[in-house]
Amino acid sequence: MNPSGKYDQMDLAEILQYLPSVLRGCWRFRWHAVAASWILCLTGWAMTLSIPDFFQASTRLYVDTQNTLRPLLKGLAVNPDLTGDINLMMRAILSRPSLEKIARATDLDLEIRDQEGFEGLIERLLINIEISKDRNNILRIAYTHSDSQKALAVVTALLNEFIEGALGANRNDAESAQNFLEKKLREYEERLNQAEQHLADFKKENVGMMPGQGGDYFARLQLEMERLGEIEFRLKSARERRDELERQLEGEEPVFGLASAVTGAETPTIDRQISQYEKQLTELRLRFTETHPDIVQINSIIEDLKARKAERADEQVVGGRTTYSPLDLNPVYQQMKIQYSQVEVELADLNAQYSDQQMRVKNLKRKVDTIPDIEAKFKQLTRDHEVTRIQYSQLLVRLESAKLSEDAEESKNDIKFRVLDPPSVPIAPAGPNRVLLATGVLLFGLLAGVGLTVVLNLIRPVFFSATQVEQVFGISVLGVIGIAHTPGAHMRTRLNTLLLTVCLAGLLGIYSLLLVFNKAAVDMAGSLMRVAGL
Amino acid sequence: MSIVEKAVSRMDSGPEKKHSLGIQPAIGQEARQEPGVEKAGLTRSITSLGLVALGADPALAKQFRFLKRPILARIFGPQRSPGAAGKLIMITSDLPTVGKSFVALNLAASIAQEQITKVLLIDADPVRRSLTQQLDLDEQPGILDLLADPGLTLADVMVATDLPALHFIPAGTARDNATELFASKRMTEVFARIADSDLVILLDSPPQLAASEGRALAEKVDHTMVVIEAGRSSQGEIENMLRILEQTESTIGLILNKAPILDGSNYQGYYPY
Repeated sequence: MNPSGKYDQMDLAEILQYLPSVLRGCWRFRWHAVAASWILCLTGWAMTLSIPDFFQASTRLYVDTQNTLRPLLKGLAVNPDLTGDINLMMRAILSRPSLEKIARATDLDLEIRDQEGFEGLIERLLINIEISKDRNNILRIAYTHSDSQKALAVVTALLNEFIEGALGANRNDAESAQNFLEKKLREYEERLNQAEQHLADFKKENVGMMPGQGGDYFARLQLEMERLGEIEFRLKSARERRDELERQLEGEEPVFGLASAVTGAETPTIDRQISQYEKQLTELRLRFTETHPDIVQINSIIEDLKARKAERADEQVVGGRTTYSPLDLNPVYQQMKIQYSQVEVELADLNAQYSDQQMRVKNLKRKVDTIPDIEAKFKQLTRDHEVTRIQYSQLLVRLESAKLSEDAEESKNDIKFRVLDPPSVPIAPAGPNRVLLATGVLLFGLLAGVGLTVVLNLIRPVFFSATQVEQVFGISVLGVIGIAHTPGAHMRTRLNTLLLTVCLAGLLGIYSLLLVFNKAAVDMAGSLMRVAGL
Repeated sequence: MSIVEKAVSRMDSGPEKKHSLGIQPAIGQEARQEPGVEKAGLTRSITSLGLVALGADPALAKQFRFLKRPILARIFGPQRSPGAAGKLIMITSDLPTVGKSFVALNLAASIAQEQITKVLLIDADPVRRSLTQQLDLDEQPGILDLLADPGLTLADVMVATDLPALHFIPAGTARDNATELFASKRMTEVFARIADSDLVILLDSPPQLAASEGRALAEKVDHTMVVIEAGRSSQGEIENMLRILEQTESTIGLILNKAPILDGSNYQGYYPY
C-alpha cells in the first residue's frame, strides 16, 4: 500500500472515525488561532470605529402626469407613454451637467483641486444619490453624506433641479406640439398642391371625354351607326338591282336571239393546234413521266385550247356567231348593259363607303368605351383632392388652438408638482450599523482562527492512532505506548487551557465593551485619528 | 501466540542460565574473567528508577507487555535470521525527544523482568546519551570505546543490573568519529561473535533524521523499531525516514508513543506481527 493512497472514498462512518484525530491535530495550533483571532478582531474593530457616521437627507414629491401633448393631439396622434416622461426627468437630474451644477452650488467641490478629483466627486455623488418612484407617481429623492448639512443642501438642490427641469420640459412639449403641427401643415399643403396639379393635367389630357362632354361622343356614335345602316341599305338595294339586271341580261339573249341549232362546232384552227400538241405529248410521254415540266405545260395548253374550243362552240351554238351578234346592236340590250355596269360601279363605291364607315364606327365605339374609366379616375382624383383639403383645414384649426392653449398653460404652472415632504435630515445618523459590523468582525476573526488551525493541520499532518499509521505507511505498528503522566504535566495542561479561555474571554469582553460604549468609542477613535493626523 | 510460546520454551533452558550471561569470549582472546562473571563491582539498580514498565504506571506497564510480544515474535519467530548470532535490535526515532530512550529502557526492563530471555541494552546515542546519564555511568567505558579499541572485550564494558537478565553497556567516551565506528567492520564482528542465541541486544540509537550515526547503525542491525510521537511526528518526516531505512536489510516496525487513549483502536496495530 502506498503512502499517498489514503483519501479515497471515505464514507460518513470513516469520517466520524477520523474526526477525533483531526480535532486533536487542529488543537495543536490553538495558540496560533488565538493570536490570529486577536489580531484580526482588533484590526477590524479599529477600522469600523474609524468609519464616520453618515446622514441621509430626503424629500418626497408628487408628480402630476397630465401633460400638454394629450389634448392637442387627440384624434391626430397616439397617446404618448407617461411614465417614460417621469423616468426621463429623473434621469435628467442625474445627468452630468446637472450633477456638476449641484456640486458647485452646494460647495462640495471646495476641496477639489484637479479634474480627476472632480470626476471622483461626481461619481461619489451619483453613488450616494437615491431616486425612486412608486406606482402612485410619488418620487423620493435622498442623498447620503457624513455632513448632515451638506446632505440637506444636495437634496434641496436636486429637488429644485427636478422641478425646473420638468417645467422646461412642459414648455418644450407645447413647443414641440406646435412644431409638429406646423410641419404636418406644410406637408399637407404640398400634397394639396400636387392633387390639384394632377387634376388639371388629367382634365387637359382627356378633353372632350370629361363627364358632361362625353355626350357628344355618344351622339356621334349614334349618328355614324345610322349612316352605316343607311349605307348597308343602299348596298343591299344596289346588289338587288345588279342581280336583277344580270338575270334580265341573261334572259334577254334568248328573247332577242334565234336559237339556231348549230351542229358541231367549227373550230378548225384550234383543232389543228390541239392535235399538234397531242402529238408532242405522246412523243414526250415515251421518254418522260407525267410529272415532267414539259408534259405538264403541254397538258395545260391542251386544256386551254379545249376550253377555248368549247367556248367557241358555245358561242356558235348560242347565236351561231363568234364575234359580233345582232343582239349587241339591240338598243334595249345595250341600255341594260350600260345600266348593269353603272350598278356595278355604284356597288363598288358603296362597298368602299361601307368599310370606311365600319372603321369609323369601330373607332368611335372604342373611344366611347373608355369614357366610364375616365369618369371613374376623375372621380378618384377629385376625392383625393377633397380629402387632402379637409385635413389641411383641420390642421390649421388645431395649430391655432395649440397656440391658444400654450398661452393659457403658461399661466397655470404650479399645479404640476406637490411637495409632500420638504427636504429634511434626521439628527440620528443613518449609519453605519456598528453593531452589525463589530459582530461581523468578531465572527470573522474567530472563524479565521479556526480556519487557520485546519489549514495548518492539513499542511503538517500527524498521527494519533496506530490504524491510521498503518494505513498511511503500510508498515505494522508493533505497539502503542500511552502518555506517561508526569506530575507537573497535568498542572501545565490545566494552566494552558485556562490561559486559552482567558484570552478568548478577553476578546469577547472587548466586543461587549464596544457594543455598549459605541458612541464613546467612536469619539475616541475619531480624536485619536485626528491626533495621528489621518 | 504459539510461535512465541515455542520460542520462549526454547529459550528457557536451564536454571543455571537464569542468573548469568553465558557469553563466549571473542575468538583469539582470553576472557579476562571467568565466563559468566560480570565486570567486578559495577552494578546499577534498575528497579529503583521507578520505571513505568516495572509497575510505576500499571496502564503503561500493560502496554509494554503488549509491545514486547510482537517484538519477540519477530525476533524469535520463523523470520528470524539464521544462525546463532545475537538478535540486534535498534530502537530509533525520526526526531529527538520522541521518547525512544524511554521506550528502550522500559522495554528492556519489561523483557528482563519476566526472564523470558536475556537482554543487553546498549546506549548507542553518543550525543544525548540519556540512558548512560540516567544510570550514572557517564565516566565509564562504553560501546564507543569497545569499537575503537580492539583490545577491549564485551565483558570489559558490560554493566550488570539488579535485574539478573538485564545488562547494560554505556555510551562510552565521546568521540567525533562515532559514525565511522558504528559503520566499521568491528561493529559487525563484535556482535557476530556472540553465540548466545538467547540474547536480545537492544540498541538505543540516535534519531535518524538528526544525525548520521543513526543511519550507520541501521545498516548493522537485524531489526529496526522506529518510535514515533503521536501528535508530533509529521507524515513527511516519517516518510523520509522510512525511505532511508527501507534501503537497509533490517526489518522495520513502528511504535507509536505518547498516544492518547482513543476508542480501543490504540492498543496495537491491526497487523502487529
